[in-house]
Amino acid sequence: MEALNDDGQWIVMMGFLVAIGMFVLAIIYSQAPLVGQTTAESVIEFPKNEIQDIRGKLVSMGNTLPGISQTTPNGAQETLQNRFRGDIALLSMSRNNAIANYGIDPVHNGNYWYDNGTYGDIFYTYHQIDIHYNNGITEYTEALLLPERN
Amino acid sequence: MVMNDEGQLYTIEGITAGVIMLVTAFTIFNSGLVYTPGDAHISDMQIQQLGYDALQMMDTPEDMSPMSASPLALMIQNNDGSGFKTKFNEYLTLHTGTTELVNSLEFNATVYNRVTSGGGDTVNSYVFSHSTDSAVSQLTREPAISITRYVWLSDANDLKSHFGAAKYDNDEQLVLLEVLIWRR
Amino acid sequence: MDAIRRITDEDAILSIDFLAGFTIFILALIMVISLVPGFLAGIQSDNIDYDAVAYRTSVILVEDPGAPHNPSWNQMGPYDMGHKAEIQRLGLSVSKETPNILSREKVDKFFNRIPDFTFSAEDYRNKVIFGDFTYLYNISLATGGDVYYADGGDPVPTFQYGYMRRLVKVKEPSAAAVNFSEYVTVYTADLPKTETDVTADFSVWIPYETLSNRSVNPAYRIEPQSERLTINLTGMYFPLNRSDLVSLDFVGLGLYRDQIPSNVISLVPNDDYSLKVNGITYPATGGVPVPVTNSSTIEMVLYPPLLLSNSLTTTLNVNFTFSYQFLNSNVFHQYLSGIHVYDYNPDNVTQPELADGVMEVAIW
Repeated sequence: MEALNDDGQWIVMMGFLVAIGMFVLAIIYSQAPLVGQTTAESVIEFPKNEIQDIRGKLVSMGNTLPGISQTTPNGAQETLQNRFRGDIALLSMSRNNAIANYGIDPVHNGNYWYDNGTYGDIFYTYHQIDIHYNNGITEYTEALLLPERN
Repeated sequence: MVMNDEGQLYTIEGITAGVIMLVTAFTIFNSGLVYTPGDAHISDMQIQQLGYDALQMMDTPEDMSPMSASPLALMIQNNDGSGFKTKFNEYLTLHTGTTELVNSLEFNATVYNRVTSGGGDTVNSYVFSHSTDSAVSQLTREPAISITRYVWLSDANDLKSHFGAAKYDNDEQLVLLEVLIWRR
Repeated sequence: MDAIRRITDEDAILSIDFLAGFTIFILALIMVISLVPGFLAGIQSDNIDYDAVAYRTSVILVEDPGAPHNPSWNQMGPYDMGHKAEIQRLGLSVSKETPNILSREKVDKFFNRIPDFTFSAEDYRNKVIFGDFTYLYNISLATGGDVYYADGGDPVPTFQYGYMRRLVKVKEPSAAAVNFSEYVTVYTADLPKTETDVTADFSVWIPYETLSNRSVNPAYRIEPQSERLTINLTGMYFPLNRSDLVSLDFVGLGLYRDQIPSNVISLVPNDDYSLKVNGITYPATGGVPVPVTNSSTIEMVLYPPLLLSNSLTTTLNVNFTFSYQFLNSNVFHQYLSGIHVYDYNPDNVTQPELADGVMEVAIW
């Protein structure tokens, strides 16, 4: 042969290309399970239970803290609220890696128990509690209105 | 007669290309080089939800009698670890009978509380309760799931005298109960 | 040399050799391409999906009060199936603030325990399970010794199903159990010596204003709009002087509002209330007087939404009418009288209680 006739080599090249393409596809495919998140993992990641816990505590504590009159100002009540806030803030940070805080209506600058209420209607006075929760992935903010019977 | 094999040029190329593709395809499809997804963490999700439900059930008073404390708060206030163990196990094994229940969960409960005495702001912890075989199963267990619940203690007097005022420094406070649950 | 020149000739003549080679290549390519989708089919699986659907279904049932919520979906008339299409989501929770606490009324409706108000498999799929795929399901709730199953479910297979188990508390409604032996001097009145018969009422007063107090935790609140109220009368003979009494009959009952006897409210049996004397159904008005003995019981259930309960300041009086015949002895005759208040006082009313329960959802 004087010269290799490579006219038909484009067919082989196409064949090679297809083969290489399949290899790449297989590599990408085989890594697919590693990437992404299963549904169960995203359920675990969302702090539904922690947020429900804090909300539930504020709803139930808001009305049944014993021995505290809800219409008179009292330094002890404020101290107690500050204690609870400090407890939640420190414990959620140290064990759940989350910032959890709740604040009472800043407008009236008073404690929950003394507040005459941000909103009111004929039957109820509503005390506003602002809940903040942030665990780095999920951020949750809510203005909770706790009704107090007039 | 001269062997003229000029006409085999393209045919050979085509056959070669076809063979390459087919061999590659079958190599890939038969290969064991597949990353298995591993654990989809479904049972982790189920355990986490079940454990949190159990804590929530224990933390809910049965009725609204004035100053009715939750059973869980009472257990912590009285440092009743065995009562917690019984009740928690009872909740973990509650079922309706539609499926077969495999009772293979172990747990370990710790209480964390905040201590401000002495001007500091630290977290104190103590072991509250654990299931019967929790120590034995440490050898072969699956990874544990952690669930937490804030418990409102309205009267921590007994705990103050038990642990000392340096560890429990307020009558009324919120503590964090953390339960680790795993499968044997 | 001639051959080479001929092959590079671009006269648009395809050689057989070329065709053969190209054909073989194309055939191989087609075979390979048709194998690829089967290769990727391995990633598509709906096994993991079952657990996600089971989890979502359990969250809707256990933590969601359902839609519509105000008024609640179980208020769509106990016997009114026409409104069923307005229900978007069947959630069993009492309210958004109380997850995992189920309402007894909703549980009864969901598991088809109320006659004439039933859900079919298609209803469950559209209002609870959702999704385009027709999932098979098995939803069960065990509470207070009973196990309820959702209609249209199938037995759980031995493997490959999504599963979720949730712990709940079922809020059992309140009841006023008036045992007259405990109220010997409280709920009696005296009849003058000269009279020998009287028809008098014993009243249970239901103040909506006191009951619908939103500062009470919804898990323990008595909600006339969405829960039934039960009144049980027993021991009616105890406070009375038996030697004096010839006969004591229960005549009927009536409802009026705001403590004004003329504001009578008409009652529709089975829709608004249910009345049983000694276990036998009895009409509120127009029934034959029933003699009352030592062991008689009168049970009255008011179904939600209680009449006029959407008006916060209204009160309701439930009057139980008894007729008495006394001997003509010259003494004061005692008859039952008084007002029993239905409120949050545990001495008056058995408060709503939370009973443990467990719900299992299986989807496949």
